[in-house]
Amino acid sequence: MQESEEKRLVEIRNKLKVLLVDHLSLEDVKPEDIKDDEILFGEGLGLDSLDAVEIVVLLQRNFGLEVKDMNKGREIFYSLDTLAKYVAANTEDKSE
Amino acid sequence: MNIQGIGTISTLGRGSESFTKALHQGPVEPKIVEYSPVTKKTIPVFSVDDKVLKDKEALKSCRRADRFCKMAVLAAGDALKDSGIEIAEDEKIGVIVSTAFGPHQTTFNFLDNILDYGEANVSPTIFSHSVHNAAASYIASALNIQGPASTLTDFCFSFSNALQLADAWINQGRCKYVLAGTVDELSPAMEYICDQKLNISELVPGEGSTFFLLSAGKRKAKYCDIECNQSSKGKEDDGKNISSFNNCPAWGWIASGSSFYCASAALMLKNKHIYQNFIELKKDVSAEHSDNIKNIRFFDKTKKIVFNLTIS
Repeated sequence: MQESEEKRLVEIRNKLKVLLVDHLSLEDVKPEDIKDDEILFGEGLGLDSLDAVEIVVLLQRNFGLEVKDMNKGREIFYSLDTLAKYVAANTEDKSE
Repeated sequence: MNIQGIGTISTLGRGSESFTKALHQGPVEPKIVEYSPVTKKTIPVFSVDDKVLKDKEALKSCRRADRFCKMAVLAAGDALKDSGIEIAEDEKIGVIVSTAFGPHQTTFNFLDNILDYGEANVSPTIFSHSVHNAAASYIASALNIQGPASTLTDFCFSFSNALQLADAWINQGRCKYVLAGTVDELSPAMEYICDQKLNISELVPGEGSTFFLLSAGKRKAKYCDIECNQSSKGKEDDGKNISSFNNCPAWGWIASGSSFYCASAALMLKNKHIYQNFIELKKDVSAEHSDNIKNIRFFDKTKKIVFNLTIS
């Protein structure tokens, strides 16, 4: 059970890495360059507030998730890992 | 007004040096591009090489910028650099971007987003770049310019409007210098329109950006003086005329391409050399007596506007 959850988390992380690189115009960054626990804003990937709005749209488009509470958004958008865990917890596992 | 600096991006490369070199060398062959994956239709174009737009230093604050904005930022930055003028912190520079069609590729991406994802899920980056004024904002931000900024669109007349506005700003004392120029881009949509909808089969569409750093006429010009006025009939053949239809075998048909003619005319005056490979000249100008050339005048498509470039 734990193994399949971890496998799903890896898949979501990888999908998020591709989405971030493709849609945030991250120059000279490849999906594989982003660490699993990479901090998204400030000193991490260096994203800013417009990127945050772009990620909100990406979550809606690709996972059907709406992030309306920005206080909650701070926790969710802290790192790639927190983002992936939020997606995993709020979407169905279609492999089951 | 005086031209103090020139920056160009076109199929001929980047910068006034590569522009001059290309004018010396002669016409190049256009690229053939497929604009529709469905019909497999192709069209010859004079496009800007993607490699030309890669400049990390000049574009360091332009991560999200689209192709349209990048061309404008690079050409405007090059014009400022070419002038060699150090702008003091309290000196204001105006920015005037003129364009025939604006960032239409981004506008179509925005429309595609609405169709694909619904209007609530449009990319905010694409939306913010679909406005025509995005390029002027990027130029001001990238070059740390404080001063008035405006974007003008008036098809073939865009650049003449930009020159007239620049003249007004300088005369009113709103700014000491103005970065004025044009930018227009190619895209599959534009290539389709040129190939299927416009009756311009003899023209090869092009893209690019040209900017000038302009100052008041009383300053010494690095290049020449430039004026843009309404033409009156009977004066069209007076002086040395370039027949301009905003088309050139060098950079292709660019609706706002009169700026490229101005750039080439300024370079001809500075270098005392006539680039006849590219520009259709009337009888009074020839390479044999180009050393004496002091004035170049040319008209826009409808000959209602005359561009007059003079070296003292």
